[in-house]
Amino acid sequence: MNVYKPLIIFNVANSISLMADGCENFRKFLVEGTKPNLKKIAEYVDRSLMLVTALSPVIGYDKASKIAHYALDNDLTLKEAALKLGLVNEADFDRIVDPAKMVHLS
Amino acid sequence: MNNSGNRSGGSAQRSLGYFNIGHDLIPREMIGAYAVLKKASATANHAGGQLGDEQHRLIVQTCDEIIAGQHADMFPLHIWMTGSGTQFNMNMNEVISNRCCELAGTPLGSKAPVHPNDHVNMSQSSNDTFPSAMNIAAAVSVRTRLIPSVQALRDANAKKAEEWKDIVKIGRTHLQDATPITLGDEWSGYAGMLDDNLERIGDALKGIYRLAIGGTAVGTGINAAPGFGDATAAEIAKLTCLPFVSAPNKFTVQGAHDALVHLSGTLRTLAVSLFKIANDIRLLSCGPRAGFAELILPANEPGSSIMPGKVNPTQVEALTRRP
Repeated sequence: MNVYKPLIIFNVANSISLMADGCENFRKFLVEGTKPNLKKIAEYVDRSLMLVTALSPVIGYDKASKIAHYALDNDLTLKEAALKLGLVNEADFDRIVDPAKMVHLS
Repeated sequence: MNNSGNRSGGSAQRSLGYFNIGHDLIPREMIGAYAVLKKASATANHAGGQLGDEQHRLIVQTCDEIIAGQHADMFPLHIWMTGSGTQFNMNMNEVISNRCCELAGTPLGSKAPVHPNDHVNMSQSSNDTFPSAMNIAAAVSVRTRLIPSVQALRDANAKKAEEWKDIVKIGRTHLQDATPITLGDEWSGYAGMLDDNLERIGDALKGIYRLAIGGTAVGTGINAAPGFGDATAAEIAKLTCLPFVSAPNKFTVQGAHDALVHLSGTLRTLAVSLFKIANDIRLLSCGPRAGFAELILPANEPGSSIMPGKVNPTQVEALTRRP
């Protein structure tokens, strides 16, 4: 016979009540009041170098990688770097590198 | 014997004498769970013709009082006691016996008209009742407290996911910039994790519903009438509205408590999920001027006694701190 019964139920009951109360508090006092910082979120997307991933199928991984590194090294936007290196034209860049087209693909 | 008004009984007093260790008491959830079990046992014994009408009536009335939250201060025993929980079972038997004496107008401790062992503990052993009460306490707490709370958190996350489904943001892997994602995508992931946890917990309850009751001392059912376990489990199911049954193999559920170990494992998985969700939110809200600052958390209380205007992710800290 298992002789740790009081300890087993103490720990299980403690876990249940801690997480029941914890989830309740976290929902009421954090989740429901959380807001997105739209300005910051847009700023990060605009400055993102990983949008270059969308260019890979068109100009190839190596050229796309070159654009990303060049942009980072010279503190340029992806578009500035792409045009400066002449690896893609502006119209193609704007068409392909569109963050909104890079989500919800499925 | 007992002083007037103290119904906790001699076994409880002895336990406090020999096991006065620490501050942690037998979980309060066990009081109601045990009273449900004692009430169900009395009903099964009465239906089987072994328990008299008066004893049955008094035990049921007393158990109803305990289930309603009365007499809670009569269960002062610590968890650091016998590993079988026998002293808590006897504490329960004696409290019920003494309260029945009060109701019947007989002296406390007189064991008449309701005897703690012969009547309240009839057809039972600590070795089948304590494990049964453990399972009842766990299942009732999970069903009435944990699941509704996790479900509400899941729903709140899903609501945010829907509201934020068109907010395109930077994705991150390894904490480094990655391809875009929506804020709704991230929060739908949190809701999905909680869905999965609810499924796991629900699955774990299946084993918890199999009770040891009827096995008595070692699982053979000595001193219990055939059918007592099934009748009592059916009564417990009726009282709790949960599908408890008498376990098909008593040696399984008295020799080990694997169903509770499994439940504990699913609780740990839930804790890991909550940690991840809360930690993500903490990271994405760090700032406001020198961090990611993608999320703005509610400013519930001042964060600092010396730095004016500081807001800290205190809800995250409370949730992620494991005991």
